[in-house]
Amino acid sequence: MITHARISIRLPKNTLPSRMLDEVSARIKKKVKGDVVRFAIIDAKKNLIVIDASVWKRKR
Amino acid sequence: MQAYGKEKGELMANKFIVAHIVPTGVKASIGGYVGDATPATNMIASIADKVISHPNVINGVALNVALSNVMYVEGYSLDAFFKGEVRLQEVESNKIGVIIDSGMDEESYELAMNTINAMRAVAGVKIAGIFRTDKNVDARAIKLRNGSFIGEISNENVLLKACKKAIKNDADALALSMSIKIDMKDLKRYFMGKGANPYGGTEAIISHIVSKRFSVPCAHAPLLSKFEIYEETHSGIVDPRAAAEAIGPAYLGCVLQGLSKAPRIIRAKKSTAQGGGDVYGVKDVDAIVLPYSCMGNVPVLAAQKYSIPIIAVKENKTVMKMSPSKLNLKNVYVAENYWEVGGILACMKEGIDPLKLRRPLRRLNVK
Repeated sequence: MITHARISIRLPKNTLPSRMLDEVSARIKKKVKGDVVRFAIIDAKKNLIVIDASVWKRKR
Repeated sequence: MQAYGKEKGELMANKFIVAHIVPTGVKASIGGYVGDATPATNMIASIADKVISHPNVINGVALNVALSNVMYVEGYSLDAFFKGEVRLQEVESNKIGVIIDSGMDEESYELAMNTINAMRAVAGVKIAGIFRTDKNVDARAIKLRNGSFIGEISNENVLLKACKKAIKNDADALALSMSIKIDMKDLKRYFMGKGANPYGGTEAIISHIVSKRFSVPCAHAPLLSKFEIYEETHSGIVDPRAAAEAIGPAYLGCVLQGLSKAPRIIRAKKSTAQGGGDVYGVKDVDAIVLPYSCMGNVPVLAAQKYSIPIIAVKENKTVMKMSPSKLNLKNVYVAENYWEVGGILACMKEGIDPLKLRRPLRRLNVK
C-alpha cells in the first residue's frame, strides 16, 4: 500500500546546504516505517523542516 | 536576474548538460498542464547538448514534440540519478511493455489499443507486449490543503506482477496505464486553469514504485473511464495549456514516444555499461532549471551537494512555497522568466560568468 505522510524533522543547527540531502535522507529513514518513494520539503523554519512523503508499506 | 552564493567554477570541457524539472501536481503555471513546458524545454535543448527532463514536462497526451536531445527520465530514477545512485545510458530504441489496469470500460481498452497501434504505425514504436493486471490497482488522488495533489494505491502488487511479466517478455521499458479515482470537480477546475492536475501526483507514485522495483525506464498515462473520456472531449474551449487533453485523451501516445528512446538506468556502482551509447552521471550536469517555489526537491538538495548551479524561474509559479532563501541555498541564479533562463544558459555554455552581463560590476580588491 502506498500512503501519504507529513513529517517534521529537525536538522542539526547550522547544517550546510551541501549536507542537507544526506541529513534529510537519514532522518526520514529513521522516522518513517516503510520505503519512502517520493519526498519534498514543503516548509522550513530555521532548522525545522516539514516534508510531504509517499510511503510504500509492503504487505508481509 | 539575481545570483547569490558561490559561483560555479569552470564548465565541464565535454557536453553541456542541463536538467529541466517541473514537479507534478503543484499547479505549475508552465508545465502544470499537458506538455505546456515543451517550448521552454526545447529552448533549453537548443542551447544545451543534452537536456535531462521527465515525463510531466514533456507529455502532451498524443503529442510528444521534445527535441531529440531531450532525455526522458521518470521521477524516481531522476531522484536516484541526482543522489548519485544511478547513471543514464543513451539507447537507440527500447522495446516497450504496456501495462493496463483491470476493471475498466470496454471503451477505455479500445482507446488504449488504438493509441498503441497508432504509435506503432506512425511513430514506429516497438511493443514487447500488452499486459493487464489481475485486478484493479485501486489508485486514487488526494488533494492537500495547499491545492496540490498526491496519490495513494492499495493493490500495487498486481501492478508489479504485470510489470515483471512484461520484463520477462523482453520489455526494456514500461508504459503504465492505470485508472485513478479523482473528483470530477477538480478536473473541471483544472480545465478552467484554476486548479492543479488531479492525476499528476498519483501518476508519479505509480511510476515511482515501478522504477524503484525494476530500475527500467517507465512512465504513466491515465486510463480514463467512458465518463471521463466524454467529459474531457466535451468541456468546451478549455485553458490553452490543457487543450491537448480536450482534443482527445490518447495519453499513451506521448508516453510511448518518450519511452522509445528513454535512457537506460545503470547502477552507479557498475564499472562499465553493457554496450550502448554515452553514459551520464550527476557530476556531468552543468545546471538545473526549475520553478522558484519548488526548492525542496531531491535534485535541488543534490545540486547543493555537487555544486551544480540552480536556475530558479520566478514566472513559473506553483502552489508550493519553498523559495531558495528558505533553505539558504547557494549557487542559485534567479531568472524572472524563461527568456532569462536562455541568456543564463548561453553564458554558462560559453564559460562566461552570467553576472558579468549585469550592473553594477563588482570591483576586485588586491589582497
